[in-house]
Amino acid sequence: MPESKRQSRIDGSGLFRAWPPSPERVAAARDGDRIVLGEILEQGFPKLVAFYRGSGLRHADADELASEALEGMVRNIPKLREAAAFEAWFWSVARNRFRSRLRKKGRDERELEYGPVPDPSDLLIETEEHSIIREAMKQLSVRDRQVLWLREVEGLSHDEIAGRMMMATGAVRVAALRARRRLADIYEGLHPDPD
Amino acid sequence: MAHDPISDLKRYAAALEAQVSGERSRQAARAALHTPSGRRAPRRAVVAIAATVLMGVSNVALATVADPAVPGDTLYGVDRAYERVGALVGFDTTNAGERATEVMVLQERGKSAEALALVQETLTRLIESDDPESAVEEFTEGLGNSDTVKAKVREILEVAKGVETTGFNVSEKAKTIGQSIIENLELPDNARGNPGGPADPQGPPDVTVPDGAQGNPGGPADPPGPPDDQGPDNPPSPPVTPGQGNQGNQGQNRGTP
Repeated sequence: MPESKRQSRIDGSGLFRAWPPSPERVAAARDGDRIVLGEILEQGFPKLVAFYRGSGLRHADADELASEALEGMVRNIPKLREAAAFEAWFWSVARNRFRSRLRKKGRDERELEYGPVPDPSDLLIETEEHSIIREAMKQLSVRDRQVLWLREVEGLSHDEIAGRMMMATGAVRVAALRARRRLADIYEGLHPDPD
Repeated sequence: MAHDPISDLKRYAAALEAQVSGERSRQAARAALHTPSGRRAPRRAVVAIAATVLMGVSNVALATVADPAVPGDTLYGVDRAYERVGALVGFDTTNAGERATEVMVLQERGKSAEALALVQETLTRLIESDDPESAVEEFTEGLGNSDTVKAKVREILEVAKGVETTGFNVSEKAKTIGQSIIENLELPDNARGNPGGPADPQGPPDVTVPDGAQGNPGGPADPPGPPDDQGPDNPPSPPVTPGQGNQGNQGQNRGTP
C-alpha cells in the first residue's frame, strides 16, 4: 500500500483523525450522525480540491466543484451500502462530478487543458519541483492524470479505480503503468540536464 | 541524482491539499450539510420567475402547443425549454413520463435511431437526478412496463446503486442497454412501422406490419442484431445509425434459446 494510503493527523481540537475514515465512522455518518459526517467532509474537501487541481482545473473551479461534490455526498451517503467501500465511493462521486461539470460546459475531458500555468494560487506554493511536475502532468491526458492520482497519491487499488472509472482492472493496471512511464519520460525531458 | 516524478507528484499533491485552509474546509463541509437538496433553488427560482414573467402570458399557449412535440418536431426545442424553466421553479425536474411517451411516439413512427438516442439521454439524466429509483420507475412505466424493459432498466440501476453515478459511467451503460430497451418496447400492434428502416421524416408509414413480422419488408435482409445479454461487463454496442440494426424480431424473446 502506498505510503500516502493511510494518513493521520492530530487536528487543532486534539482529535485523532485518519484518512480514509474508519468504517465505523462512515457507518455513523451514513446513519445520520451529522457531526461525524461534517468531520469526514471537512477532511475530504482539501483532497477533492487537490484532485481537481491535479486533473487540470484552476483553483477557483476546483474549490467550487469540490463544494458541489460534498453536497452530492451529503445527499447520497444514505445510499452507501458498504461502509468499507467509502473511499471508492468518495472518489467515484468526485470523478462523476468532474465529468458532469465538463458535460455541462459542453467540453470533452480529452480537450481539457490546465488553467493558466502557474495558476495565481500556485505562486503561494511555487517551487521548481512543483512547476516541473505540473508541466509534466499537463502533457498527460486527463484520464492518465486521474488514474495516476488515484493510484499514486490516494493509493487506491487497481480494482477500486476500475470500479470508479468503469474500466477493467487489467486496463487500469496497463493505463497506470503507461501513465507512469509517460510521466517519467516527460519529466526527464523537462528537467534541465546537469551537464 | 535521478528524479522521481511519483515522489514529486505526491509532494505536489500534499502542497495543493495544504493550500486549502482548515477554515475553508470547515466552511465547505458546513455549507454542504446545510444545503437543501434543491441547492441554489432560490437564486434559480428568482431568475426563472423573472424570465417567465418577461416571456408573457402568450407563451403559455405556445407551451401548450409544444407539449406533445417529440424530437424532430419543430416545437420540440420549445417544449424542452419550457421544461427547463419549470424545473428551475421546482416542478418535476425529470419529466420521465413525458420522455417515455416521446420514445413510444418515435418508435411508433419508425424513428428507432431517434428513440434510442432519447432513451440513452434520458437514462443518463434520470440516474443523475436526486431520486433515480423513482424517476427510472416512472420512465419504465411510461415505456409500457414490460418485464423485459424493466429488466434492462434494472441493469442500469444496478450500476447506480451504492455510488453516485453520473456522467461517463451511466452514459456508457445507457448506450449498451438502450438498444435492447428500444427493441423490447411493447407497442400497440397497429403502431409498428418501418422499425428497421431509416427515420421517416414524413411520419408514420402507411403499411401496418403484423405483430412479430416486422422488419424491413421488401428491403435487404437485416444484419444480425446485438446480443441481448449485454451485462455490465460487456463492451458497449457499436453506435446505431438510422437504417441499421435489426428491429425485425421485435416482441420476440431474443437471446433465449
